[in-house]
Amino acid sequence: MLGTTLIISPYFEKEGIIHQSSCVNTLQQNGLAERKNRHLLETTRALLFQHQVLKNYWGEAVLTSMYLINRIPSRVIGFKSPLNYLSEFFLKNNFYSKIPPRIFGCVTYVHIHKHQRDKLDARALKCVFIRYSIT
Amino acid sequence: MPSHQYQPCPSSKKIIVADGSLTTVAGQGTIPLNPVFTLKRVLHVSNLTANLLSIRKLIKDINCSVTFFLDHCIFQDLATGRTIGQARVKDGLYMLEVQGSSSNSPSLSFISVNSNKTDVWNHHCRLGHLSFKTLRNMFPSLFKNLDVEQFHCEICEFAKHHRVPFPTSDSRSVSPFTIIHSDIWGPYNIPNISGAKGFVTFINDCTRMTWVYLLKRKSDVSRILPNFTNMIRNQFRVSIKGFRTNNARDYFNHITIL
Repeated sequence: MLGTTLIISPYFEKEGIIHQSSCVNTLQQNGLAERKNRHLLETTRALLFQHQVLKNYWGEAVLTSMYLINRIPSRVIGFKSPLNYLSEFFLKNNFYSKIPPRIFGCVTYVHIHKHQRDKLDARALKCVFIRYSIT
Repeated sequence: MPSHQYQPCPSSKKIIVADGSLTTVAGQGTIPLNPVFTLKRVLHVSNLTANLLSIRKLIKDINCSVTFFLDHCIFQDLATGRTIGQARVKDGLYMLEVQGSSSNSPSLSFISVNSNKTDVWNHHCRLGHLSFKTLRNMFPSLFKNLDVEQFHCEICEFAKHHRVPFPTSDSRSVSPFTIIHSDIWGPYNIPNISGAKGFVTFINDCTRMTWVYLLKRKSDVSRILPNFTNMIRNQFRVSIKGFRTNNARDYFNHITIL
């Protein structure tokens, strides 16, 4: 990229990764990351407002946004979802979960396994859904 | 037009007309058009073929507002909001309509809009250095033989200077993990329940796959970054070739900038 600075850090030197950093006060050269951040935050705000979730759950909302954005078709990659597109390159990789989507902040019932309850105990625990599992 | 309180002027009193030459003023007077619409200090200049009216002076004298439309303009009293006069466009000029005189004989006209560079400049300055493009949209007749490109205002350069828009890059790497874009968000004043105050994003340029890691402090990035590259190497059997960020100082404490 024109006008960007090349950075040498001990870690990247060891790994052989080329690091391009934008010029001072030129966020525009990091446009893709900035736009992704905006998209993430827009989705995050929507998630939080939807069920009036407290602000200190923003981290969970950001991670949920990431989970959703990775699974929603995007125009720039020909209306495929990033996850689908990535799996086209790595066919054997079945590493990411395909849990059906839930509303952020909705009530979920978590099953209590047999060894954690006796016969007359409740079989589920009432919880609030705040994020998807990473794996 | 009958003029009240007409007084002849000494021959030394002259005005400068549009072509820059001097013309003698024969006299001065007041013309009442209707009870609320009086033209004060009207100069009698016999050499002029059209009767000109200064909007600036009129607004100052009778406290009114003037609204220009495509084919007419309206004079309104500022105190009452009443329309006290109007003008219609004829041959590119706004002709003031005077009660009692036939509309065929233009007894009084004024050039408020004329294809003249000076007028464009006056309008530009009066309207708070409005852009010439908007000015052309508002008064197309002003720009009859003129082009927007001909006008360059230095004050506007100082007041409204912008950066040149950045060229949009449509290059995208063809294989995943050739380039990773990264950005740090935060710190945010409300910590997450896990204590995190910001997050770092890693975006794969080719597939737009995004990874987000929560950060307790900015220096966590230097710990997360090796974990991320290791995760990519193990899961996908590829290594990252390029890394593009905003401000390298956030990522490493000890760096050398080339």
